[in-house]
Amino acid sequence: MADETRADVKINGDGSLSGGAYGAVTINGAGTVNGDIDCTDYRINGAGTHNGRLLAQTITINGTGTFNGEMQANELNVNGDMSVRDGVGVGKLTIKGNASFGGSIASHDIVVRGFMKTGGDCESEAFNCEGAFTVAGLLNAGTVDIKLYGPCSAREIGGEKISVRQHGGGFSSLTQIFTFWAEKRLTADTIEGDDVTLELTSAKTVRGRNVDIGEGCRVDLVEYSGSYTVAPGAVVGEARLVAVV
Amino acid sequence: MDPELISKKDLLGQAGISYGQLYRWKRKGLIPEDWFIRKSTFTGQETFFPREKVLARIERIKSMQDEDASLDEIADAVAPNLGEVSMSIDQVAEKRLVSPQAIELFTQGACDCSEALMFGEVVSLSALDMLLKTGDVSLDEGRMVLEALQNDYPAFEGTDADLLFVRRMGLSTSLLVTGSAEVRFEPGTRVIARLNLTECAEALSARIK
Repeated sequence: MADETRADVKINGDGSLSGGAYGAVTINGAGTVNGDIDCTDYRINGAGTHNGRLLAQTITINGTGTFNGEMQANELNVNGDMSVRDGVGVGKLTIKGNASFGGSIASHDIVVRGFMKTGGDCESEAFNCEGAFTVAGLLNAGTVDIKLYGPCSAREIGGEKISVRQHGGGFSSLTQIFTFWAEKRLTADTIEGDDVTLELTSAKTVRGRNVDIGEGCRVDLVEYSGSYTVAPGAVVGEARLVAVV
Repeated sequence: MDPELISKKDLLGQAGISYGQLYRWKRKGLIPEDWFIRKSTFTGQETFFPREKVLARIERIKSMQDEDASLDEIADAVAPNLGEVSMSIDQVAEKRLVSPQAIELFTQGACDCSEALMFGEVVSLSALDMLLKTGDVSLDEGRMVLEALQNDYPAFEGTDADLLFVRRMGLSTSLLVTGSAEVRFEPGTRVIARLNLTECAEALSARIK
């Protein structure tokens, strides 16, 4: 459908909108959308509830958004709090605040500055987290770059380059938000990658070509085919050199 | 351990690929989700793969990479987007994708052939054709198979499905199962054919192109 024929809609104050194809959809205040929406730009400033599927070029949540359905977008920005009942497919996902997904996430680029939770798998070319996350299934990314500001967990982590570090300190607003949180630690059953660098990580198995086990790690089994280093403070049950990985 | 399965570690060793490559291919959809079979072992949960399928797939990916194909191009070739293809029954006949007998059977069925066929229906048709060509399946039985495919194949769309055709004491029946499913029958049952529909679809899409 040509964009010219699509109307922009705006809810100011309190209102509701039914499904359809739109240009820009803006909710200022409180709004409810019932039905599937296909639009170019979707923005909530305030509080919004959406019952149905959402297909948009750009989705921006400033405030609170509750979505009962799937979501697809080129770009999804969460500044505040968002929950999605099902899975999402987004080109670029940026979370500043809190976002939870009932299903799986498929993306190219994920940036988390806050908290992310997903009930399924999480796939992305790049996964960059300074904050905390929970992935119930597999976190699969080309590069996994995690700076720990709180408890992080995934059933499995797989990728090319995996790096987990404690955050460097300094004064950021994030540090203050997460100060009162539980232990800063990554927990996973299995971590597999080509180059794996870990700190403050608990895992049953870590497999990789080059494995670097840093401070505060507790790992039952390490399998590596290239290089292997372990920091003095780390606890490793067994480390095996294997032929090929 | 089931000899038809291969553990992830053995797979990487045999195929000579790294964890990073395997995960990348999974992300790109080059290796289907349901080939990753999680099982409990004494070391915890491990991932296994259907041995022959995954080794053949990796072979194919590597040979395409040698020809400088991009991962997206390979993904299109090994996991074609089935929804985009549609053709009329006349086009199917013209391209000689299936035998005239199969087409006749198909047009006699409940299906409305005046409209273009979805790719799934063409796959059903070609699966039917393959069964008929083996000579082990009669035309009447073919009709039954077709019915099963038309009713139930849409539910398997996008996943790896096998079509099974079995016979016992002269009675025959057909069923659809997921590709990795293990099926056992009582003694005296003969599995006449087990056909992987995803492979059918891939072969078909290669011929259409």
